[in-house]
Amino acid sequence: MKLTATSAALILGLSTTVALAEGNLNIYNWGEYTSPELIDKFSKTYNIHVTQTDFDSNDTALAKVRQGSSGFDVVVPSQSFIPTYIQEGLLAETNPGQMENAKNLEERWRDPAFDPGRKYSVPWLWYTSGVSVNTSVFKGDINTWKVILDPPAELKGKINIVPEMNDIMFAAIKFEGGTWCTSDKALLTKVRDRLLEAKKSWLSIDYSGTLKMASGDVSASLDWSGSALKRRTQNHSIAYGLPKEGFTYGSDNVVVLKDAPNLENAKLFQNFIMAPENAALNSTFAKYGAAIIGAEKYYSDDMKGAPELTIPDDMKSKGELLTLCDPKITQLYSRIWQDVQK
Amino acid sequence: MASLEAVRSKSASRTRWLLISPAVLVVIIGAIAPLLVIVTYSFLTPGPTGGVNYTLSFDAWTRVLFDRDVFDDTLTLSGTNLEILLRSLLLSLATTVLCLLVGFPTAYFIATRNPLNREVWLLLVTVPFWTNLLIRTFAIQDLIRNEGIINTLLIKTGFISEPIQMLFTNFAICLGLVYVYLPLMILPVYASLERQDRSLLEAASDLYARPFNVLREIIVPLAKPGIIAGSILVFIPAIGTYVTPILLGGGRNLMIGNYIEFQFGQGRDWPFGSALSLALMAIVMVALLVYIRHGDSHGHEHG
Amino acid sequence: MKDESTPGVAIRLNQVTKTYGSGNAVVTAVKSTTLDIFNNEFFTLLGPSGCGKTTLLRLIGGFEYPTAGTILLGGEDIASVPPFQRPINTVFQNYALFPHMTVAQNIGFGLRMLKRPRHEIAARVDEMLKLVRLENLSDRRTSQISGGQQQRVALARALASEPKVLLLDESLSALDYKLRKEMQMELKSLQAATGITFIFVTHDQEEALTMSDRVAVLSSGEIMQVGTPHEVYIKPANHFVANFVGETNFLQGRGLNSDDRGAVIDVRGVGAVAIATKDRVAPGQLVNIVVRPEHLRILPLAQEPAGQLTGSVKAVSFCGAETQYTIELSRGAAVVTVRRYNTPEENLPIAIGDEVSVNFTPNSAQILPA
Repeated sequence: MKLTATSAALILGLSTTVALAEGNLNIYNWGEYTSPELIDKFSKTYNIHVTQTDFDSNDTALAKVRQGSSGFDVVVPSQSFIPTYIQEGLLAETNPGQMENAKNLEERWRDPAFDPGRKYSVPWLWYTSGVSVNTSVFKGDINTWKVILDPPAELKGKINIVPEMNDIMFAAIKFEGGTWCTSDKALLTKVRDRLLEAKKSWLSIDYSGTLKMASGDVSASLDWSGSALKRRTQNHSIAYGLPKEGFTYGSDNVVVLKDAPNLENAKLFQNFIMAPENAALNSTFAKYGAAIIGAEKYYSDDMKGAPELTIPDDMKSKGELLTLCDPKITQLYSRIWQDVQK
Repeated sequence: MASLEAVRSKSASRTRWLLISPAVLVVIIGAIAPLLVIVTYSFLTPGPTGGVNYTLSFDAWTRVLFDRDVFDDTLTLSGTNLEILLRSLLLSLATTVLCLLVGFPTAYFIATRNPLNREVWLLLVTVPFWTNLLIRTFAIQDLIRNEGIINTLLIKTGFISEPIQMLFTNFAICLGLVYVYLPLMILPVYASLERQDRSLLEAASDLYARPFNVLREIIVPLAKPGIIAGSILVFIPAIGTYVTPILLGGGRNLMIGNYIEFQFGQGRDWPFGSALSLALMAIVMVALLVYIRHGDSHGHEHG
Repeated sequence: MKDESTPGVAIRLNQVTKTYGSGNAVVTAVKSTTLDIFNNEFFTLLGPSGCGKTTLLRLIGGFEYPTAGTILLGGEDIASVPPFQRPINTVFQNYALFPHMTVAQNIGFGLRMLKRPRHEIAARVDEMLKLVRLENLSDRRTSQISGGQQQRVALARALASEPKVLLLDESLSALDYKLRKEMQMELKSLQAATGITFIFVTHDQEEALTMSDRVAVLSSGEIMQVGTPHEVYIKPANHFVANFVGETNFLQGRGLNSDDRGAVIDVRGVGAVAIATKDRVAPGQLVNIVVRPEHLRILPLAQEPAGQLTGSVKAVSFCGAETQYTIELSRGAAVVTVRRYNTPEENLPIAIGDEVSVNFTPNSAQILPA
């Protein structure tokens, strides 16, 4: 008797949850990366309750989604991971390229290689990777990887490297004149030697290293555009350089999972964030650029015309999308990176 | 009679198995099954974006010990792996020894207070555990960084003119590990000291043992079970530590825990990560066996 | 030994006081005690638990320091000398054997701490093992031997470094009756053989009487009487000693008259009783007549004319060599215990409920102020 009562209660409880789930949206995104105002506006506009969960790396997010039944509707992975999501059939083909607000997409992001025709993804924010430098410590040219890979005396022992293997390997390969995903052994020997030599001048290899730039503990760091912008608002001597040897630009993108419990709400969300005033809310919060035409006029004042968010015309050809290399190449790069970190 | 007895013992043994089955289940689900997964993974090849491909390979295991040279494909003893492993061993050994050096007197101090105060002291020892490990580690960062409290104090009092670089060194890692794991040394050592019969100390003193000799001949040997337990409790998590080398070591000098984490993350090489973690397990196990056996042959047989 | 020492005195306690706590919560464990213990003496501190005997022993051993007073060892004040510098060793109540050492290592511990040469230690340990008859157990752990054997190891360990004084703290109390009897004999002969002064603490008056050359009876931190076992038993100095050492009957009465040879006491409900004593008793003074049970004699009332005391038998208990009778004296004078040897001559049948006469000779009783 008791058992039946319990199971009845359980079933009732379950159905209640299911009933509530209409009008829900579950977002799986990087931490500190979602504007609360944006979520608030979305909730009010469509009367949808939004739940957010954080991840700390693309690999964590992918592993979780792969397991299936994650309960998430939308995920915001980096572009280099999008092909994997697509190939593994994890995504719902929502065709955001055909949505109403798709007309707002900036030309560069309209038909990217990682998602031709925008069949699955909508850009969340975009970024470049370069170097942040405290110009009161070093007054020379900062538009080069030399700042962190062959640093001047002023910066030695004050450099931080963000421990993203792909970014640092990209920097070193470009600095030595190679192409990304190269397996040229002669070049990779130079890359390794360069990194080993440069490491002697590095203070730390740490995600939180860039946070120490404002206080002066760190004077130069591998950095991303939005992060550099935040540093500059804290300490005006900090400037962001785009290396002329080649830099990466990339974006994080909103995709909808195949097993999304609230598919329609997720589509609404994809369309919603392509509206300029909505994309600008996100940009203002995270300090990264929106890939949406007309978003800039809704930016906060400190972001309008910020150099970190603008790629000068003469540099445009130097940027490339960061892709994932073949596993064998990744293994090779891992080995080199481990030699550096050991 | 005999057959009845046989039936009875059979049903008794069945009951016994039934009673211990939850424990067996927990061990299988909690310990053996994940281990089997890891063992399996270590004999496969890495998938394109993490995960594994189901093709048999000994590559991961070969790479634990040997490096296939990136540049000429020859196998050499893996300098990288051995260096990281050696650093991890040395750092965790140093941590264990420092924990013992600091923890033993602390435990002794507490064990010799009156019973009412003892509980207060023990509570204080466990207070750091109430706070998240990350927060505690950040607190240490703030103490020892160049503009941190210690350097600021030293400069203001005129002991030094330039800040001492403490953060992002092996010293910082060791400090962090000792701070985090000290209670794990204090508590078992305290337990073994607190049980000690005070009359043994009086007897030793009565038999001409000076205080230092009482410590060396009686207190320490009798605290050995606690010292062994404490050392194990400190050494094992220290060698696998992951957060401290990043936050306090600045990520420049990785320990084996970070190395393994990297394989499952950015490295996208789960088989190698599995092989590495199994190798670490084996090394820790062998080290423990040697340590415990060594401790036994010199120790006493009573708890 | 120093020149100023009194010859023959091993330990001299002078006005030794020990208090614990402070302010209102001061507890006095030992009250201003003065005592001489002689060389080569088997001396016993006897008293009920909490009387201060163990504290006194610990003061001598150095485990406690006196609040006031001096402790002289061979004429030298050792009151504040730590235990490891006193040539005094202790056999602890629970033996306190080191569990992580073998029997031989336990015995050799003191000599090792004194940094004696290795061969000397080995030889001495062998000698001690022989002395306590444990030669074949030398490599055993202390947990692998019996209680009696542990007792012997503790003794051997304490004696190995030839202390001037050996302290024994209730050392036999954990042993069973037979073993205890055996160890009592053994201790006595060990003491004779080694010539070391033994100071023995016990609450067992029988043990104290059997083994000691002299006994100090303590109560509430004070010494009540010091004397040979015979003196303490036969001439207890006060009511406490009389009561604590051996069994005793007390008969309350008032003095009638007394002279050099004795006194006559008016025992309530009985009448005048003569006692041989040199002490004077003032007429009307309230006193106790003290008679040991074995000094009372009873006879069936029917066969003998009524004696000084009569009563009825309330209980009879057979104790092997003797029989003990509990008798309620007539007119509620007192309840007394009488002990009679079970010899054939005395084997008169007396049973519960019998009326008996109770007698004692004037010189077998003693008078103590009430």
